[in-house]
Amino acid sequence: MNIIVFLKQVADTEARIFIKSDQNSLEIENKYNMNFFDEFAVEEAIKIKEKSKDAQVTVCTYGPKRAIEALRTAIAMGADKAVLLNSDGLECDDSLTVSKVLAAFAKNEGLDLILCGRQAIDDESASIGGMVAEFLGVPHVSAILSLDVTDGKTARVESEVEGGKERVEVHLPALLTTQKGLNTPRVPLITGVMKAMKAVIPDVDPTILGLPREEIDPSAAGIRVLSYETPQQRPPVKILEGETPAEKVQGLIKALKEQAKVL
Amino acid sequence: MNFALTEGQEFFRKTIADTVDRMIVPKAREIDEKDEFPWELWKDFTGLGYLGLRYPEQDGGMNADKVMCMIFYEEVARGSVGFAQSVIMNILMGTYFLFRFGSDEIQKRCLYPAMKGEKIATMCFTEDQSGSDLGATRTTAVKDGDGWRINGTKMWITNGPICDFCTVLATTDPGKGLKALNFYLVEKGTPGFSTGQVIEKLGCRGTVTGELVFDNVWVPNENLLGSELGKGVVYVGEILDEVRLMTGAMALGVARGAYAEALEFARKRIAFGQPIGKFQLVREKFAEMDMLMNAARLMVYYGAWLLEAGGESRLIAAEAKMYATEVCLKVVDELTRIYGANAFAYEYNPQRYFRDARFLLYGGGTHEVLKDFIGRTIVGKV
Amino acid sequence: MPNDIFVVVEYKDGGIRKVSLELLSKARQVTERLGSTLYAVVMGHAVTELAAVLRKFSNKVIVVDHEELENYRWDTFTSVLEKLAEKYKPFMVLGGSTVTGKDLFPRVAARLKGAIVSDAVGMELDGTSVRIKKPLYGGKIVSWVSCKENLTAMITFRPNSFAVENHNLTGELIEESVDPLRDPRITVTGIDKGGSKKVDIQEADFIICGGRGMKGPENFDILESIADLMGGRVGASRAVVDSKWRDYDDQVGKSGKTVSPKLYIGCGVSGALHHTMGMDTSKVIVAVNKDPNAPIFSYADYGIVDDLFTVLPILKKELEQAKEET
Repeated sequence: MNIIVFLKQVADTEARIFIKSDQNSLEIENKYNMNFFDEFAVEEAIKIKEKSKDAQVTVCTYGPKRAIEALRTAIAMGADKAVLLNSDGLECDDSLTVSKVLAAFAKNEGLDLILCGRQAIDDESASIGGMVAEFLGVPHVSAILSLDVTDGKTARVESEVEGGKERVEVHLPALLTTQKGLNTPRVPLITGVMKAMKAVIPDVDPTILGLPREEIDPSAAGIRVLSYETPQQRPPVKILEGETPAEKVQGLIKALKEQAKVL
Repeated sequence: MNFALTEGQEFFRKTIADTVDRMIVPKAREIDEKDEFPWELWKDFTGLGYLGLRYPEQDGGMNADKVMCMIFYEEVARGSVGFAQSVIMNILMGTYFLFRFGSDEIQKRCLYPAMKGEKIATMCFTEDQSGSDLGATRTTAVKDGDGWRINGTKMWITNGPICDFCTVLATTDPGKGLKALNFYLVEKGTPGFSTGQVIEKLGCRGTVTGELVFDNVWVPNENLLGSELGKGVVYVGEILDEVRLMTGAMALGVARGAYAEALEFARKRIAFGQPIGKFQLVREKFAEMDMLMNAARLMVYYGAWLLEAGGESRLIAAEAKMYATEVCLKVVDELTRIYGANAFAYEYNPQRYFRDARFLLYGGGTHEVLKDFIGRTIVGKV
Repeated sequence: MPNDIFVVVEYKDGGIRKVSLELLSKARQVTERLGSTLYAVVMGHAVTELAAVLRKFSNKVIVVDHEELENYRWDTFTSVLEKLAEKYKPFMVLGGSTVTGKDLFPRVAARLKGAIVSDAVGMELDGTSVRIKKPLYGGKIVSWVSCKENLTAMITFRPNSFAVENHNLTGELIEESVDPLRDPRITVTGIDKGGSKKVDIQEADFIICGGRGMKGPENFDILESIADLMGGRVGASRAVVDSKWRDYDDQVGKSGKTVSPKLYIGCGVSGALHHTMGMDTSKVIVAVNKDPNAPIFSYADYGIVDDLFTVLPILKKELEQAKEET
C-alpha cells in the first residue's frame, strides 16, 4: 500500500511575526515546525506501515527549501521517503494552487491512501484536503478520529461531524484529514534521528509534474493579499475593586450591562 | 572559520529540543518538587536510545561528535537539571571506563544495558574529605587472590543510591597520592557494597545523590578498569575536558531556560501601564544576558570543536566550564530581579533556576581550583 | 448574475443556525450597495418550512428538497451546490467556518476551480470590490485579501463574525429540483450524536472557561450551571484537557477550538499563549484569578482578583438576577 502524507512546515506559535514597512509582506522569526495536525497524519501512516508488511510511507511538502527540516522529522518518526516540491518563485500560499501541485504529485506517485492534517495552524484554512481529493477524483473524510485499513481496500474511519461523530467506510484510494485525538505522535527514536540526519531528500521542481507553469505561477493565485495589519489592542484591563468578593462581582455585572452591553 | 552547525547537527538540535519540550519540560516542576527519581520519565526517555549517544554505532550507540554531545547536554539541562544529571551520568562518566576497559562479559552485563537505560550507572570520586583533591582519596583496594578487596566510603554520588553498578576510584597505596589510583567496577548485590545517606539538596533535585559504602567488598581482577596499574588519573584525563565542557553546556541550558522565563515575563507583565520589557533598565538586562550567553556559547562550542578535532582543549574546557557557570548564575540572578518578588515564591519557576544554577559551581572542579590550574599552566614554572 | 451572492444555510434541530443569519445579514449590506441579488441556499429534506424565516433575510431563497439530502454528505451536497452555482453564477458563495463548511467548501471550490478563503472574520466593500478580513498565525496578524475576479469566491466565516440584522425582506421562494449524486465509494455505517443539544462551542455567545485553578473535574459543575443559565458552553484550557478533567471537545486554544463569543469568562485560567490565541477575539473578556499577575489579565477587559470558589457562587446568583431583570 502506498501511503502519501502531505505536510506543511509552519511558523512556531511562539515565533515573532512582523509586518514589513510595505504593509504587504511579513517577516517571520526563524522558528518552524511541522504543522501540529500533520503530526497525527505522519503518526497514523507509520502505524499502518508497522502493521502491514507492504506499506510504504512517502511524505511530501510543497514549500521553500527550509521545509526539508519538517520532512526530516517525518523520516525520524519512521517515514520511508520524503520529497520537497520546491516552491521557489512559485505560488505556495493560495489553496487552489497548492492543491493542484499536491494532486499532481500524488497522481505521479500512485497512491492508495493520502493523509494530511485537518488544517494548518498558520492560515487555518482547512482547504487542502478536500481540494486535493477533488482534483484527484477520490473520496475524502475530514477530521478523522480513528482509522482501520486492515484489508487494504477499505478504510473504516470515525470522524468528527456537526454535533457528534460518524462512522464511515470508504473505498481506497481516498484522502483522510487527521484531527487531534486520532493518536499520539511519537517522539523519534535515536535510530530514526540518525537515519533522518543522513537522508538525502530530493528537492524537486514541481513544474516537472505536468502542470502548466502558468497554473502555479504567483499570478495564478485565486486570492491576493491586499495588506496586513496587527490586530487592535485591547485597552488595559479594568480590575474591579471592592471590599468583598460580592462587591467585585456586582461591579462586574454593572460594567457588563452598562459599559460592555453584553448582558 | 566556520561557526555554522551542519544541516545534520541543526536537525539533531531541533529534534532533541523538541523531545525535551515534549517529555521533560512539562515534568520539570514536579521532578523538583517531589525530589524523587522520575522512574517513568527515565524509562520513556532512555527508551529513545540517547544514552548511547557518544558510543560507536556497532555497540548500539550514535557515534555523536562532541558538538552534538554538547547540544544534547545543553538541551536536556534546559528541561530539568536534575534529570539531566542522571542521564548524563549514564552517558558519560558512569559508563566510560566500562566502554574503554571492560571485558566483553562486563560490557554485555553492564555497559549495553546502561546504554539502554535498563541499568543505572555511576562513578565515584568524591569522599567526605576529598573532592578536587584526588590524591587524598582514602578508599583502598588491596590485592586479594584473583581479585581486589575494596574498603571506604564515597560521598556526593549522583545516582549512587539507585545505581546498578559503579566505577569506584580507590588507591592501592594511600602514601603515593595520584600515582596509586585505579578504577574498579562494583555491581549492586556484591557483598559489602551498600548505600548510605541520601543527601537532600538545595537544587538539582530529582537526581538521587548520596553515599556509597564499600565494606570489605571483593571484586575479581576483571573488574579493575585500566590496562596499567596506577594510571587512574591518566584515564580520567581522557574525559576530563568533555566533563568540564559538559558542565558548561548544562549551565548554558539552565541559563537559556531562565532567560526564556524572564523574556516571557518581561513581555507580559504590565507595570505602570505597559509591559515591563519597555523599560530601559529591563531591556539592558536582556542585552547583558544575551551578550554573556553568546560568549559562553562560543567558548563551550569552540571547546567541543577543538576536542573533536583533537586539538589542545584543556585550558579552554576549564575556562568554558567556569565562564558558562558564572554566566548562568548571572542570568538566574537577573531572572529573579526581572520577576520581582514572585521569583521568591515557590509557586513560580525562577526560584528553581536560581537553586539549580548553584549546583553547577561544584561539578567538574570548583572555580578556585580551576583558576589556579589555569594560572599555573599559563605562568609555568618560575 | 454578476455580484449575486449565495449564502449556504446551515440548520440544526429544525432551526436555522445563527451563523447563517449572520452571513445573510452581512451579505445583504453588500448586495444592497451593488444592486445585486442575495440568495439563501438551503439543501436538505423537508426543509421548506425554514424558508419562511430565510425570506426575511434574502431576496431569493433556493430550496433543494430531496431525501438524499437528509443528512449532510460532501458528495451529494457538492453535486447540488455545483449545479446551482453553474445555473445562477454567483460571484461569491458564503458559508460558516463550521465542521460542515470546512468539509464542503474546499470540495466545491476545487470543482468550480474557484478561489477559497477560509475562517474569515470580516468583509468590506471597497467600491465594487470585496475585501475579506482573515486572521493569521493564531490572530497575531490580520490580513485583508481579495479574490481573483473571474473566479467564484468560496468564503467561510467564523461564527459570531457579524451581527444578525433582520432586514424584513420578503424573498421569493424558488424550489429547485436537482438530483444529488452520491459517491458509491462512501458508506456511512453509524452516527453518534454527542447527545447534548448544547450550542456548539464555536457558536456560543457565552463561554465560561475553566483552567488549572479549578483544581479538579468535580468543580466544573458550577461552570456548567452558569453556562446553562446563559445558554452558553463550558470551555477548558489545555492543562485541564491534558489532565483529563474535561473532553478535548471543550478545549479552547491553538490546538483546540478557536472561539469568539460575545462574553468570555476565564476562571483560574492563567492565560498561556496557546490559550489566549484561541479566545482573544472574544468581544468581552472577563478573568477571575487569584493571581494578579496571571497573563490573562493582559487580555481581559475586566478582571476580578479573588478566590474563584468564593466568586463563582456569587457570580451565578448575580447573573440569575440580571437574567430575571431582562
